[in-house]
Amino acid sequence: MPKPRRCGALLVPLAAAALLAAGAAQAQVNDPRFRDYFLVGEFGEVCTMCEITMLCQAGDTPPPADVAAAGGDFTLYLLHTRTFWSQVSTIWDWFISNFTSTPLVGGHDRPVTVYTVANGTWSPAAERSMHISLEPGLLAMDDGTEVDRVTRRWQRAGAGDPLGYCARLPLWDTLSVIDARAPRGAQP
Amino acid sequence: MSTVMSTSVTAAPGVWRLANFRQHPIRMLGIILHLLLRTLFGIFWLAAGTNKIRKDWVTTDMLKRIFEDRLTEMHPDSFPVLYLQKFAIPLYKLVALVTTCLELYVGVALLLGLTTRWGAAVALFVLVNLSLGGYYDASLIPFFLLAFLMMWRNSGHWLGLDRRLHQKYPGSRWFS
Repeated sequence: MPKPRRCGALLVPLAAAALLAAGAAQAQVNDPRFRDYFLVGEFGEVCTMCEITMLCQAGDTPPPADVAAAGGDFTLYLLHTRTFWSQVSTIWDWFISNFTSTPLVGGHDRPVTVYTVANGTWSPAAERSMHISLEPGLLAMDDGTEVDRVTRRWQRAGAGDPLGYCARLPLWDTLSVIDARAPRGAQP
Repeated sequence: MSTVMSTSVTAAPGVWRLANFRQHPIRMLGIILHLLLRTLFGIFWLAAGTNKIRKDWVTTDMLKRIFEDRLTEMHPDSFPVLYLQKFAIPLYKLVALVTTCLELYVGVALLLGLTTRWGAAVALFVLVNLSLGGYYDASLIPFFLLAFLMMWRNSGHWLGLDRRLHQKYPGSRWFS
C-alpha cells in the first residue's frame, strides 16, 4: 500500500471525529427553554440513574416541597432509575444528539411506584410507567393522568381536567416515610 | 499477550491484500468491524474531552458543582458518596484536568491507532473511576467490553501508526 494513501486513511477518521467532536459540544441538550421545567435540574433532564419522589394533591397551588405528610390525601410517585435497556439506549441518544436534539426532548419511559394516600391511609403500591418529555413538557402516567412541567399542574390526559398540583420532595427523607408508612410488602 | 501480539504483528503486513478477503472473509469482516468499533469508540472519547474544554470544566468549578449535585441523588452511606466527598470534590481541579487530558489522549490514540492498547487501558481506567464516582449505568457495559476488546488485539497493527512504529521499535511496549 503506498505511503500517502495510508496516511490519508488515518487522517479521514480523525478529521471526521474532530468535526463531530466540535459539533457535539454545540449539540448538547441543555436548552435554556427547559431550565425552569419541573424536575429539570441545573444540569438538565432527570438523569439516567436518578430516583425522584413527587407528591401530587388536589388544590389550586403546588403543595409544599416538604417531606410527605403522615396524614391527608395525596398521591406519591417514586420515579425509579431507567430500565437496563433504556440505560443502554442512552449511547444512541448521545450519538444522535451530535446531529439533532429531537430524540432527547421527545423523552423516555421509566418505571414508577405510586402510593395513594386517603385520609392518612396508604393503599398498596401500584407499579406504573411514566413518560418524561420536554416537548411536550409532560410527565405522562400510563393511567391517564399527567403533570404539566411548566405549571406543575396535575391533570387528566387529553381533556386536561384539573386534579391539583405537584411538588418534588427530598428523596431520602421521603423514602424513609414510605418505608415507615406504606403497607408491608409494598416497598420498592 | 505476547503470543497474540506476535500473531498480529506477523499477520499485519499482508492484512489488506485482496487474497485475504477471498481466503479469510470472516476474519477480514471481523477486522473491519473491530476497526469500525475502534473509530466510534475513539470519536466518543474525543468528543467527551472536547466537550469538557468547551464547557470550561478545566477553568471553572463546573465539575465540583456536578459532583455536589450528584451527591444529593445517592444514598449518603454509599461508596460513591465517600469517593466524591473524600477524593473527587476536594481535588476537582486536578480531576477535571486529568480526565480531560486522558479522554483526549484515548480519542487520539484510538483514532490514529497510536499506542492503541495503552489508549484502551486508559479508557478502562477512566470508566472504572466514572463507576466509582457514582456515574455507573448500563450504558457503560458496552464501553467496558470495547475497552477490553481494544486491549486484547492491537488493531493499530491492522490500520494505524502502531504497525510502522512497532516495526521501527520492536522492543517498545508502547506500540506492541
